[in-house]
Amino acid sequence: MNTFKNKKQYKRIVGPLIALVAILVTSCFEPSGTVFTKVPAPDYSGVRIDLSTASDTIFIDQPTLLYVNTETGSRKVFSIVLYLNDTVVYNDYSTFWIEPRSHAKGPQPLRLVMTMATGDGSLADKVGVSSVEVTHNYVAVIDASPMTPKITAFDSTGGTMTVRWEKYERSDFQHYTLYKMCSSNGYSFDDCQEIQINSRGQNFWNDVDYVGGAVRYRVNVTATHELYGQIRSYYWILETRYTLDGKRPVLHWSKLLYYSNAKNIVVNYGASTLGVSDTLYTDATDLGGGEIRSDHITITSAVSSQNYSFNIESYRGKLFFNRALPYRYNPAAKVYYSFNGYMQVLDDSLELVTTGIPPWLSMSAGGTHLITGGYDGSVITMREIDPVTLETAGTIYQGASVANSYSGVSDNGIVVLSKYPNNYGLQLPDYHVVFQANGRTSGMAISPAGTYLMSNDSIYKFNGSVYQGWMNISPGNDYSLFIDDNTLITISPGGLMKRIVAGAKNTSSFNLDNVFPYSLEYDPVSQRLLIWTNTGAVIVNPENGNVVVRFSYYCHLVNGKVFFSEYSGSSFIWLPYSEFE
Amino acid sequence: MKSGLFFTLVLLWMVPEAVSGQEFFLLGGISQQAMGDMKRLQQNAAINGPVQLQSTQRFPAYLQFSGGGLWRIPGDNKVGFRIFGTSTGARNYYEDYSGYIVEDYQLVNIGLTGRIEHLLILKKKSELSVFGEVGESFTRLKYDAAIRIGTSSDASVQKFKSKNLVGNLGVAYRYHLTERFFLMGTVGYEIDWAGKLSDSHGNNIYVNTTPVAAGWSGIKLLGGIGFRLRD
Repeated sequence: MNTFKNKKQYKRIVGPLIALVAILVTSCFEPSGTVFTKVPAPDYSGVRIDLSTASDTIFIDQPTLLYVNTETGSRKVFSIVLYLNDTVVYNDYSTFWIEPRSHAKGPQPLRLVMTMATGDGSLADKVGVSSVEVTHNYVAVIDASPMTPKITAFDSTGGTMTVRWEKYERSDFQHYTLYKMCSSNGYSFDDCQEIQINSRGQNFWNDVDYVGGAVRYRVNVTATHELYGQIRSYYWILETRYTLDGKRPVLHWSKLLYYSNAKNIVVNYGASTLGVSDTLYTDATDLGGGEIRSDHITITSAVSSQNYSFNIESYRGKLFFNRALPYRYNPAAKVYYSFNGYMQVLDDSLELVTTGIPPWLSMSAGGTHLITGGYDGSVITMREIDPVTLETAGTIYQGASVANSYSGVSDNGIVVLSKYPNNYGLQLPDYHVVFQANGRTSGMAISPAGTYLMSNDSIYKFNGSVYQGWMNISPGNDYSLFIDDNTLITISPGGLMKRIVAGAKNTSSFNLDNVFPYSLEYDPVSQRLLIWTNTGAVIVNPENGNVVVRFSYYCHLVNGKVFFSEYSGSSFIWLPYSEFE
Repeated sequence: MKSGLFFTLVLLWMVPEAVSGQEFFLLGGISQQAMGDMKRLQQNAAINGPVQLQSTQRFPAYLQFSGGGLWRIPGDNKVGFRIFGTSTGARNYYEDYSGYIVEDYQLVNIGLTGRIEHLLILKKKSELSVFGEVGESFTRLKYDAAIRIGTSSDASVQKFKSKNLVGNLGVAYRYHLTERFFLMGTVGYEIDWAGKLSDSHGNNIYVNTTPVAAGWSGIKLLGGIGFRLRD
């Protein structure tokens, strides 16, 4: 145990041990060494970026999709951006969509910029932070002006008709062609004039021939392609009335709007020729004898004329009117509807309230819904209209179910119509389908409150959301209508009339001798049916099928009045239905 | 691992009872080590980077410093201990005009072994012995990576460690300068049973699916000075 006796000696080893520790700590290996790699300059000779265009000047006159073609070798593409006048163009990966209406017109710098990896193999390249931009500059010639010019105005300044349309601004203009379509009845039109205009700046035409009536125009543009414009309709009609000067009728009419186009006014088939500024004519005839006679105004121009008829009548000493024959009465608005080329709205005293173009009308029994259909340019539409102004008053419907024929509308807003090969029930205001079945294009009917619907020899009942089959009726009817919400009347060739009480599923049949129906109407005031036949009109009691009266001429039974027209529908007289019972 | 440390402590416990002479020595020299796993790790990192890195150093032979003490015991034998410290490292590197990327590996190994020597030849001023050692070492790996591209740079440091069982066989030569001081040289071959390197959360480093160890096995050539205490 003498080993540790000499502590002094052991102290001598402390210093070396400390030195050993110090050496260990300070002599650690330190990694070192650098190697610089020279990277060769990249070769971009094969790199390119192009748009799918034939040249670097791109004409964009309609929404255009541009495709991008790139050649980058193995280099990664980080982004491709197209700048149109320094504004980023919307892109979808490798395609760009340019809407010319969103950009200024004229030449614009179009810059296609691709950001891609340098591809030189450097460290920055390998980690994807080394990039180079490749730019291809183009010029985009923007032209957002309309392709097909729209007719913008019908101008009567100076007493002549000026048709104005949008100027065609594009560079490929060759000429305008204006087509004028004339009508003798207000609803069928034929081309009557074709004018070629070679000056781009002449985007108007003076129709020195138009003196009034319904007319349509369309402007086409011949450019790179033939561009077809939309048809615009226009009408102006002479407002007429009469007064009595003693026993002599005095004809009044409104001042001519297109007076410069008019040559003169001819009254009563040439009985008198007046100046274009004249607005009245006093007939020499004494009406005291109660005879019926006609008067007629013709506005003539140098090359055409427009006729307006006055029928001044003293039939049975009742009333004289110069309106077209009323055929429907709207109990809600208390107005009559008549049609003689133009739709006319007459008030309860049969004075004219409104004149409008719509040629077709379907009214619910209570008058709460009026539906009309027609053309807006080339698109077939269906719309609700105001009962008095005839202006659009509801949702315009354009779609696949627009009808081949319209059969009616109920007071709760269900339109029934046919579009081959189906019959439909569409509920307003959104026209959603509540009925659809294969069927004929005639013979549909809907009850006034919409409870029942008839289609293709079957009656369907509304369950609140759709129509469901209710009862079948024997086939063969040509015309049908609900006289109330529960009772259906059908008329067949040969005069077989059925009265079907839908709620009771009860059918009664009546023979109408010598009645070959053309149409079927019902007047809820007189509670009688009016049927047009091949020889005239008959009034029938729907309760028992009895023919109340036969007429050798055509008439309408509306609001308890029988309206007659003996002069081509241009005037009428009326008598109360009670006189015929 | 524990057996190596246990063996060393047993030897040191025997010393006070058995010794009749004491000597201490300080040695320095070259440590060569295999580092097979580490070289594979370095190579794997070099080829799997964004660019092909070049290895400027691959765990070369480096300095080892050690010191210890021995006590004579009967039968021309000595027992004692040795403390040693070794270091090595490696670097992967790439640089071009755009920037550089560097990966440094720094390994430090510190160990304690129990040592037994047997005298073979004794002459007037010199002696030749064979020795054997068993003990334990602790390895620390510091992985330092940095990248710089243009003016942007990023760096990260990760540290791992392992415990290893150490064995060493060799010969020792002493030349006596005086009665108490002598010069000493040893050459030996160290065998390591290296533990797997892991971080502070116990996560290993892998090459493919194999955990990596820092293997220090190799030839150790040391020289230095020693002195004897008076009995």
